Amino acid sequence: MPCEMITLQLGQCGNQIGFEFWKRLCMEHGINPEGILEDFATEGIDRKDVFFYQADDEHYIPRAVLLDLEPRVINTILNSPYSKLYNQENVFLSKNGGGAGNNWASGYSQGDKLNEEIFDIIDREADGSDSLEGFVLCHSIAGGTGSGMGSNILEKLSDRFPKKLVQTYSVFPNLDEISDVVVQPYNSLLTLKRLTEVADSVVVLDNTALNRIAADRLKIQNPTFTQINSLVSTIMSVSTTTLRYPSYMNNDLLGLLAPLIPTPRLHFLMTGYTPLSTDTDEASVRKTTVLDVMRRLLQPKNMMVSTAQDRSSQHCFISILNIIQGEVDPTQVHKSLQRIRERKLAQFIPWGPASIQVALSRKSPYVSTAHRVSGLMLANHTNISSLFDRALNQYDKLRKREAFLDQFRKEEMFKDNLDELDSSREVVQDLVDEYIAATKEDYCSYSSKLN
Amino acid sequence: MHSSEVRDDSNIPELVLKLCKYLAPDSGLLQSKLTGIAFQWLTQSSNNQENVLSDEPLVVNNIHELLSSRSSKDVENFDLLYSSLSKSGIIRDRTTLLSFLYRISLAHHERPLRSLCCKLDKLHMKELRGSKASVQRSVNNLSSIDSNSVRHIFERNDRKFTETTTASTLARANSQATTISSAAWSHHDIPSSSKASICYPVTEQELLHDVIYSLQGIQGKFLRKNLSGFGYKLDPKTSKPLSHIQRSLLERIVGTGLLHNQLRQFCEEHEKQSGLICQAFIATLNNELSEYYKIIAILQPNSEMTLRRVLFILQDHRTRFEWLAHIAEHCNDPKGGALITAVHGFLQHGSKVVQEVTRKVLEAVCNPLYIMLSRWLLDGEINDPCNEFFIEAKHVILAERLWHDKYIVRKSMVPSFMSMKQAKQILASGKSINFLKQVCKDGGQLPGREALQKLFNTTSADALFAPEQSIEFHLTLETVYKETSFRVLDLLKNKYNIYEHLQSLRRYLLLGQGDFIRHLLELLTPELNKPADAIYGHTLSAILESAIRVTNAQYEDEDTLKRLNISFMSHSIGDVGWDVFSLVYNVDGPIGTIFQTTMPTYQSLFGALWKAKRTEYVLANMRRQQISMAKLFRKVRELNPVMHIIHILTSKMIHFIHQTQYYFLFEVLECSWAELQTQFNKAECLDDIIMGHNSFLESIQRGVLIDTESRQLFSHLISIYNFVVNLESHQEAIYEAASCEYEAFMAYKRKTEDTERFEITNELEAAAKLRISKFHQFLNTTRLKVKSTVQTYDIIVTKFLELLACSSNMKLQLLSVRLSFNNFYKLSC
Repeated sequence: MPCEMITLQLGQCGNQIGFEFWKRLCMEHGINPEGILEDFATEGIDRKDVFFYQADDEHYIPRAVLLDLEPRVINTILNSPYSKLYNQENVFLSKNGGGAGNNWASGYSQGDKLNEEIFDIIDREADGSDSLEGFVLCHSIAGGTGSGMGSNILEKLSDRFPKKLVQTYSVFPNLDEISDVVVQPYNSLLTLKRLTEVADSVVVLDNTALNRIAADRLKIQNPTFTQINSLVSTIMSVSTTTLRYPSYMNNDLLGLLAPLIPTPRLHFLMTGYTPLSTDTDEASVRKTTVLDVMRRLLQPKNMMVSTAQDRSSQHCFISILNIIQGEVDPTQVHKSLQRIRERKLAQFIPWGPASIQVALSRKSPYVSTAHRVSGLMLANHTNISSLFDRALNQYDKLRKREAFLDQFRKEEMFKDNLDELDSSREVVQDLVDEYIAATKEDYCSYSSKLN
Repeated sequence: MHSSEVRDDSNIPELVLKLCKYLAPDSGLLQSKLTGIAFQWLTQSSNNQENVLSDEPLVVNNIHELLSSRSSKDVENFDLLYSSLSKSGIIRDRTTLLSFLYRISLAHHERPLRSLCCKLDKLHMKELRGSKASVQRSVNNLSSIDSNSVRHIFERNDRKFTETTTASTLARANSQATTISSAAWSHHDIPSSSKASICYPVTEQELLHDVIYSLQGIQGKFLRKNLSGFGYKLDPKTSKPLSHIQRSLLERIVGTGLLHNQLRQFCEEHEKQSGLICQAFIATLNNELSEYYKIIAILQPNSEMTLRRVLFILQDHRTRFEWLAHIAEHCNDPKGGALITAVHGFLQHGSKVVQEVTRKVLEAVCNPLYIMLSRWLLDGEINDPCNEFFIEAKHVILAERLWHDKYIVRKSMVPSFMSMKQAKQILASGKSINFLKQVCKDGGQLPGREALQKLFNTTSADALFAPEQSIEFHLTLETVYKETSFRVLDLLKNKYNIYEHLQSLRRYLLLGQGDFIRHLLELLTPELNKPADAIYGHTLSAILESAIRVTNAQYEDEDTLKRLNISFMSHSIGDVGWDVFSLVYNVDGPIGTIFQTTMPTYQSLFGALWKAKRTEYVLANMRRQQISMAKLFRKVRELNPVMHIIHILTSKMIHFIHQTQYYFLFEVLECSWAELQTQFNKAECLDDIIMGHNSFLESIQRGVLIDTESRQLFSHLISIYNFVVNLESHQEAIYEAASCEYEAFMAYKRKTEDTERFEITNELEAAAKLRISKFHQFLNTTRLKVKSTVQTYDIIVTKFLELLACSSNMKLQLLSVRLSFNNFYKLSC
């Protein structure tokens, strides 16, 4: 089957959201926790082969590689009912087992050392696919393994597979709570450089926004990781439905991303989802129409990214893709678009044609939902730069004090100097600048100041 | 007008003169005699009645008194006739007429009542069927009318009738009355009065011989055939001694002879003609003729027989003959169903006699039709060597065309008692039988056969047109039609999976199965880039196979996959594979009936959608290359300015092609499909589905701009697609150059790093510099080229959007809005 995607899940956070993602995919494709296709799911119209491969007639195995430097999360997975789902050869745990100590530099250098072993697995997976479309990387940018080792793997991937797409689901740290990871700003900045330079598309999962949504919209006072991760897995699964349920359009990742990302570096995507609900609170969501869904998707409170609301700024949408699922009358789509246009609910770039694209996607017949219509928005918005701006600010504060740099100096990369930090800051600043430039009409003649 | 109602006795002599002139147009002598008799009459009656009756109610009252002295039945009868007369618009001067009739009645005490009633009755009849009354009189004029056409006579008199003035109406009404009353008293008065004035050299017996001959089409001593060979005229020599009254009687009798001759002539002329319906008509005529001959046989020239009696005996036949001749006149040219239509027209006539005659004829001519109809409906067979049936079977070779072309309604042969809708239903019922038998090879029991069999067993031909029976008859036919149609539908839906085929066509020829199409494109691209004549069909078939194998198409029904194939259109020099490639879906057997004709449309739709898909695919590949170039040549900063422009142009194009395809999908395919589904579900017959399917295709053709009205738009669209391919070549050139430059740069770098500094010669350095400046120059020119491409592209797209915005098609206006959602393109209209 062409257009296969290999999922790499790294570190504690990456493996947790990955676990939730696979749970959900299994449910949607009618695959039981042991990888066996349920009897009711044999006549499906879905494409399982994008994310799974078929071991035998009814046995499906995720194209997933599980990587971590410490055993805790992976062991939880291996002790769960889903333990038999994964190809055991694709589960990689560092023999050291000590983790990366929330240190990017440690994760990066360990990744360097384990490079061969890890790429044995990845190469084998890649060889096992007919026509690999690309990789999906799940990780957090703030810790040690997901950010550090993730950065290393991202670089290696782009060297080894320069023509394959690399998409990441990157979890950004929660800024509302004081993190016990003091070097988080360093970790984030260093990871952001790689996300800018070698990833092709980054779906930003902002823990700040996710927690706020859980608290404000879902009325969960102290949301657990599982609850947050179930939100994330929803986003991940819906954003891949068009790949998994073939239709007229958007049948490969590139087709999905190409209209969203106009120039290679502006590839950070925000997401929004509606209607939001947990298992306990489904009745409160009223009957929804396509217009309702599309209008709500444009509301900041439904966005999974906490961007500063700066009314005076010229921030605007570069592109929007709404994936709508459920009972939708296609004729309603255009009417909704018209309404949004008349009421100027969305501001777009001035330097090129832009609009809300809509994909009507099929829903899994095996998962019942309370909602008639639901929608996921994938949006490229210049305001995402405020997130990077914030990262730069935090980094600058820490850096000014030369705080907590000792741990970094222990590693090879920073032994002699901190050039890598400076270069990362430059890259991220350049990214922010480019986003700002993209709000202006003369973006066509923009050129990076970097050299 | 009203002046005529003012009673003015001075008018009467004038009118009497006119009347007499009319009755004897040629002979002054006769005319003056008649005038004499008339005046004698009038004055006699006025002598009997002292007062001149000037008031209509008074006259009516007088008549009442007179009649009531006899019987109350007559009074009622009179009232009835009088009220009809009051309503009549023809007789203006009723009072005069009534008083005239009244006086006559008083003058002849013997039989005033009967004659009065008779007179009124005749007048009434005259109004109802004016033409008929006219015929009687026109026969009197036969000698002067040189025409054998009954129709001509009718028309002539109709015209005459409408043209008559008030005065002449009165005059004619009087004349009519005179004639009729003269018939009533002929035995007593006329002979005696005639005897007094004219001597008879010719006896009635002599005349009777001639009359009986003439009634059978043989000419006699006095009655000679006229020039036309149908009518008779009096031999000028032998008839000299004949009295005016004899002449008049003869003329009236020989009218029947004329009609007889005409009918016989008609029979003889058409006897040799084939055609069951025509033969049936002739058989009816022959029947009528033999009835008539039986009557003639009893007419013997003996002492009891008189000319008047002959006239009386023949009266019935004469009326029938008049109408039969009239009908025959109308049936001269038409045959089959058209003949039936011609006959059926007469059924609407108000006169009972006409209706009765017509019904008899109609029953006869409908009988062959009825038999053909039963054959058609029960077995789907047509046995119609003379092309009389309203359903025609053409010669069709292809089974797929049976439904469309084999059977058609012969419009001219649809009888007038059948609507076109009914005819089409009957066509469909029989066609369905043939379709099931020949195309579907379905040997099963057809639905509604018992009802139909029963219907044909219990009814006869008159069920076709007789109002009280035809409703039920046609209802049964409609039920049979519905049941048969349902049977066909059911078979196509459930046995031949027509809906699944529609879905397959949508999935493959309308590119609905996106993963398969995308993969097929990917696999075909290297092949289709080749010149058309360098491509082999089997290579493409193999590619098709492998595209099926690895995509969800593999789960498709076996039958569908067998039908799916590639096609190679004929190519001309310079064509590449893209120009000639197409997917095809083979349709044969029963489903071919629905789909075969639409295949060219599917081909052109596939072509249009495939072009858009290919453009999308090219753009995706460009984007893929851009992504990898950005990583690969991150260090080659010089590339950035030109690549930035290309990135943005590419994204404009991607936006265009995606929005256009979204439009194709949601506004065109999805909406048309939804409509087709609705049509499909409520279809009552196969034709409903065929129509629904055709309009589905038409709406898609309009939507994807390949209908004739969208030519200009489509050519713009193609030129936009061409821009994409054009830009791809620019990018390819840049990629090549950048790769070379990158390698050379790396090689140079390695050299500088590997070797000692002094070893780098000036030449090497200069060569490197030259290479770099050449590369920069190339980038500069390419940048300028791309920049101008951007400008032209924007102009063309703007123009395209303007054309869309100006389109009368609402959906295309919306597409224009969609493509410039953020008003990036400033439209001037």
